[in-house]
Amino acid sequence: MADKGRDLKVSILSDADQFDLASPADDLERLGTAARDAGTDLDDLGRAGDGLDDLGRSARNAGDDLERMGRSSDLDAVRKDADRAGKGLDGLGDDAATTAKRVDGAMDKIAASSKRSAAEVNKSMDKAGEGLDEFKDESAGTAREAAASFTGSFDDVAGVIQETAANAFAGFGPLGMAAGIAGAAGIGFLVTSITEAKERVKELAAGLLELKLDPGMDTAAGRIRQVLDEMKDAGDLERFKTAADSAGLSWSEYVSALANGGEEAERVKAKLQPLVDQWGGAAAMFTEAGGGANDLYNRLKDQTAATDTATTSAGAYREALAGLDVAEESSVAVEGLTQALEGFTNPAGVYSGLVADATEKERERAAAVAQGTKDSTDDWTDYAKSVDVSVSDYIGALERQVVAQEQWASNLATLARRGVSEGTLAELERMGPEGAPLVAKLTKASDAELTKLVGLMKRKGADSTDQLEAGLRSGAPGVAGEVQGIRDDMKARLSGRIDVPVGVDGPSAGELARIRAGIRQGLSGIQVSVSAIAQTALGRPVS
Amino acid sequence: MAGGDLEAFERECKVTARNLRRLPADLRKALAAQVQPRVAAPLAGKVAQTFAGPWAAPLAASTKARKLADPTIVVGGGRPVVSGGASARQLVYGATWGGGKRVAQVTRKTRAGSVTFRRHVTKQFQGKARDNIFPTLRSNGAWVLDQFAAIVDEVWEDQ
Repeated sequence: MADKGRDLKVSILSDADQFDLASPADDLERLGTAARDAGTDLDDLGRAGDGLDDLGRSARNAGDDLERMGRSSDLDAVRKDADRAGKGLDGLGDDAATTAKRVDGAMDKIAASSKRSAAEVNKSMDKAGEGLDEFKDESAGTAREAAASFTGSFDDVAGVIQETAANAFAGFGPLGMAAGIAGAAGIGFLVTSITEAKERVKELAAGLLELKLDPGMDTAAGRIRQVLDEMKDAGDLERFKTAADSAGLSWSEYVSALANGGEEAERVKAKLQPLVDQWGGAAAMFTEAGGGANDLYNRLKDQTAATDTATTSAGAYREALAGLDVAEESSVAVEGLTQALEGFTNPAGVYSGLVADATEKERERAAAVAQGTKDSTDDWTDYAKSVDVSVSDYIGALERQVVAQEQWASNLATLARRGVSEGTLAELERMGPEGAPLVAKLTKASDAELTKLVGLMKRKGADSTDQLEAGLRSGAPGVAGEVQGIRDDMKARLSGRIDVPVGVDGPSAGELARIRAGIRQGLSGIQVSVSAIAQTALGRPVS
Repeated sequence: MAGGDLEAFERECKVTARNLRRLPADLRKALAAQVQPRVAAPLAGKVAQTFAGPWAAPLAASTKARKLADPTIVVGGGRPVVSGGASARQLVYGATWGGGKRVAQVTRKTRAGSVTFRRHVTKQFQGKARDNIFPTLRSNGAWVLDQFAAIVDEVWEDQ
């Protein structure tokens, strides 16, 4: 055997210990286990009726009958297969014996021709030959005995396999490998037979569910099927079982007639006729009940139409409430814009701004002078002068702002034509007087710059929305709660009217329509109220 | 089952293999000349057919029968047979090489709990050819022994 770092070399005789010779025996054991499992499954199939549970205990009795049928016919084939496998094992034994004798002779010849004494090898080879003969006799004998004593139980099949597998190796030794492999193929007949038998029983069970009788009984079968269906729906199989017993009909007889036909089928048919008549009456009863059900259906239909009307009105109500949310946001935005426009031109603000600018410039100048002196205690106030704004400066600043205001609207229109989004324009509008020069510059900006500006404004807009929401929740909790309270109260009152069934104590369809129209008409007033409350809560125009 | 008997059979096979090496040279060569084409080569062909996956072709081409009295097959060779440069021997046994590129996470327990760190490890791939070789040899064992015994009879008759 080669090792790592060298090629993989395998010599059959030298490396015989690497082949796991017990593996065929393990395979046989697995075959036996599989056979036992198959038998267990089949027994379960018979007991459970494989899907006949839906038809109740009567159907389970039928399943038992089917299992008996399977044992009487299909399992007979299994018994024959077992017999055939036994004969196959006879042939296997002959082949294995021939192989063993040839290998035995070959090893003897090799030993005799080598420089080593062949006595030791001869002794072990003789032992191998004895083991082979023993296997041949025992395996064939076991198969024959098992076939003769076959009772129909699937456990017997598993037993045959297990026992044969055991004998395949007991005392056989040297050629166990050869016999085991061939034996596995032979015993495979039995496993195949089990599987086939299982499938046949399944088919029979399915056939019972379909109630496929011979042509002479088609009519009766159809009626029985119809009655059974109705009874299954009604959950009254027990009554049918009682009726069948009173008619002297058992499932065993029925299944036997199903399988054999002929006179037996005629006899069952005669017994079935009164039963069919009786349950034909039951079918009529079902029809009568169906008439009542039809009336019930009509009543339900009317109720459904009324419910549909209420549902439509409720949908409109939901739409109106959703529209309320949207309108509220728009109203808040409009209010913010109005505030910004009102403060656009601010003469006093212009004057104050000019004074502030002049003061700041004087402060910077004085600070520079104070720093330039040698006395470290000097302060800028020691060197500052009072500042003043001339009338001409004031008029000039005010004029620039008025011109900017006049150009502001046209500049915004220009930006809109260049594709600046509505949200960005709104942001520019909210900037007020300070934003007018920026708007004027933007009209001369490149397309790339405008695109970048729009992207930045979108991000800012999202932040503003978050800030508004946070302000409504945390900045003025009392007023925010009042807003929510108004909406909740509206929802509760309207829902209370709509959820009441139509035509009972609740509103009529017409009244619902009026409610819906009222919601829409009153929407604008609600929007204004909510906007005012929100603005009051924040203390400033909100975006 | 007869585990003890199987072990005895294995011992006898090994004794026979040693006896084959002690045969006279002409007899041993005559036996090898028959065993290789009639037993070892068909067996190598059956093994080659069982390989699957992306390395099936180079492995099959690297499966050969030796001219020996004991039926022998060899799978391997040091010549590169795949695009990455691996030899058939490396495909059979797998390989470990390098020490840089592959990074693995290693977790070590400490008093405070555990700590996970990364370390560079060797590249590896696992050889899979042996999973196909031995089951094939085992399932053909009976045929091999039968053929081998027939060849011995023929060769000894010719001597």
